Amino acid sequence: MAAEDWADDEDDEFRLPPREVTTEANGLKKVVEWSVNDQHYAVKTTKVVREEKSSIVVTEGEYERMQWKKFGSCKNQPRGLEKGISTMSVDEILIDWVTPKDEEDDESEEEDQAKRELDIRKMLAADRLKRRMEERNAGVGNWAQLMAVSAGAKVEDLNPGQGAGAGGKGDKYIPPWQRNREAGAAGAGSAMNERDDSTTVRVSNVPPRTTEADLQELFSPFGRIQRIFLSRDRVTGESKGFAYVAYNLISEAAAAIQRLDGHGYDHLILRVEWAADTRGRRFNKRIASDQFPGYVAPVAILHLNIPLLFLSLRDNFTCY
Amino acid sequence: MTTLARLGRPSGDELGRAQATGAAGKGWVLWFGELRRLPRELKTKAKRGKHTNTHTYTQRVVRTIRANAVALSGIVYLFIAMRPMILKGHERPLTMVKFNREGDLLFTAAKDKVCNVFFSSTGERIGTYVGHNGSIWGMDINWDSTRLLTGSADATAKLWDAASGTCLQTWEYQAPIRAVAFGPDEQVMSVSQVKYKQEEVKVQVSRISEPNAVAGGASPMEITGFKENVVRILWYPTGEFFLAASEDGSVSKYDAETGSLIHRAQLHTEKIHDMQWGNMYAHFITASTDMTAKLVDVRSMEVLKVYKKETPVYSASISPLLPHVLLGGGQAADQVTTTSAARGGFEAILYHVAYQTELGRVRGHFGPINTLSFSPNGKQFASGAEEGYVRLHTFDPEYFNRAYE
Repeated sequence: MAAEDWADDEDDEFRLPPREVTTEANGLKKVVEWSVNDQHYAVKTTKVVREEKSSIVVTEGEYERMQWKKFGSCKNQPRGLEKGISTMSVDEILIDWVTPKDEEDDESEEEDQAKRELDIRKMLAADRLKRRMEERNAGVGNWAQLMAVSAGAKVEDLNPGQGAGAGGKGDKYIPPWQRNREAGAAGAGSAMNERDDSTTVRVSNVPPRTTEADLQELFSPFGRIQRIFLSRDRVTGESKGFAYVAYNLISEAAAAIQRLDGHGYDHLILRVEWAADTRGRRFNKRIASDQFPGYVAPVAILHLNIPLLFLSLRDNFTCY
Repeated sequence: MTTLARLGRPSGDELGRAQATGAAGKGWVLWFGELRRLPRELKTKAKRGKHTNTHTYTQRVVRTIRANAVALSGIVYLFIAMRPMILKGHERPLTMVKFNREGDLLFTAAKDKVCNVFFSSTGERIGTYVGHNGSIWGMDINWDSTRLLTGSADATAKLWDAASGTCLQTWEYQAPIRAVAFGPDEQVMSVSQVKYKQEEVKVQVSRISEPNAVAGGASPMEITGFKENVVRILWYPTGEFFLAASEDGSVSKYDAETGSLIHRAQLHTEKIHDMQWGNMYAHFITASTDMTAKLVDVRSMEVLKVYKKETPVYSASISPLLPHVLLGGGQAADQVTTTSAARGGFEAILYHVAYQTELGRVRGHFGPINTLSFSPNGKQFASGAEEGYVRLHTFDPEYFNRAYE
């Protein structure tokens, strides 16, 4: 009996406070309720409620039906919504109105403008590509020369090195390095070959969105930049992932390599190395040994252009 | 600060006070019971007051939040504009939802053998009608909502006391029952029997007070000559004739006295799924798998308007209040998994009754809508879908205040 009493005592001690309802000014009611949760903690819940009474007019039949007792599967259920049967949607569902066209015009104006600009940009890019192809077809180096060709001048006069090679052999295609050889000497090609690339660094893993200006900004702290070549996709204009940066001095290029190799740029890690080494290994060893035993690797850029040139020629045949 | 979520819409007075205290403007909002600041991008969008298509949704959210956040003496309320009640009274696809004449009750029937009845004002379930042994395909409620008539695939039709859920009478047939309808005087009912084994499609018109022929009672009036199952029967309120919609795409008008065919109109090229009366019984609307719903004049049986949808239409309802038509449907149930929900077309689509143009869509279901209905006051609609849920929508004030012309 004593144990029971002791338990009762404890119950009394921890009895939860009763529900309290206080009416505040402006018609609000404050309801304080206590309950015990799953972890056996007492929880105090305070609600501020505003009660509103509104009357509705119902027909006799409706009034009768409001008094209906629950039946069938929900017999003996208390008044109110059944848990699991009637729930309010969590999402707010609004009607997706179809807006009439004249209302929409105002809003889509900006988009139209942007689209038009994009179209123009695409058109210009296509135009540029076409012009470049024409130039290659005619065997001339730039637009001005092409104009001259179309005006009647001979190709050879404009571009002695290449022109002689191509013209002399008729239809047969001769790669630029062979043209130079056959032409015998210091044509345009060999002049380009003389370009010194000892101060050039090759940058690879360049993010697609990079521009020349970005590279300029990145590389200029190490010295005065002579030239930047960024390989770009012909159609999209995006970077293809590598670039060449030429400095005036070897020491400047060395500094750039030291500082920027492994440097994080955008979301990629740049790789910066000597242009000469890579190019010699990748592109020209075979060509050099096959065709000119005493070949000294020329500037990387020229040789990088070779595969591009092949591509473009093939394009020309299919297009025109 | 105490928070409280409240249902309903703020009155103009409350909104005015909210603007005076400035809580709504400062971007504080009660979001699912938690007081939060509006994200910055939402706020700037709201300030600009102009939105691009990609941000329509965000913009709409902002608009609702701004309209709904109301501060009253330190309490922030969230008013919830249009949150439908989801009624989970069934476990199988819905076959029919129907309001009673006054619109206070919503009856639902499904393939899980039971009918449910809900209060349409709250979504509270009042009762179930248990007793059938097969999918319930059709039901009808009488004029004063005292009796419920159901037809089931167990080849019986039952009459129920609506208030207590007790079965008053059972008629047995030789084939599954598809459509049932009270005649106008409630002494007569018509029942359609589907094609089953040797049985051909039949519509029987019999007196409610008598058992039918199979049970040894009087022989009812039988109408045959249908190519396919009759899915819906509508009685004209004068009792002069009734309409029977068949799965071969035709709607037939039969003389109720003699049972003779008055007119048969081939309205659709494919199955008809639903046929409902328009306001004033001058028109009816049919919904078909051929992706159209058609508004038809009762007297001449001529198609007046056609509403086109991208997916099959399983149900169509005419608003009794505004010049609107609501279409429900979606990809066929057996093809639902082959496409994404977005392309399934499970929304209920609102059309202008005369211009036949789409006005808006109501999302929510994740299966095709099998059946939907406007409430008789036009302020609510219920839709039941293949997934087994009924959604009871109450239109927000925008729906009534909008300029539709």
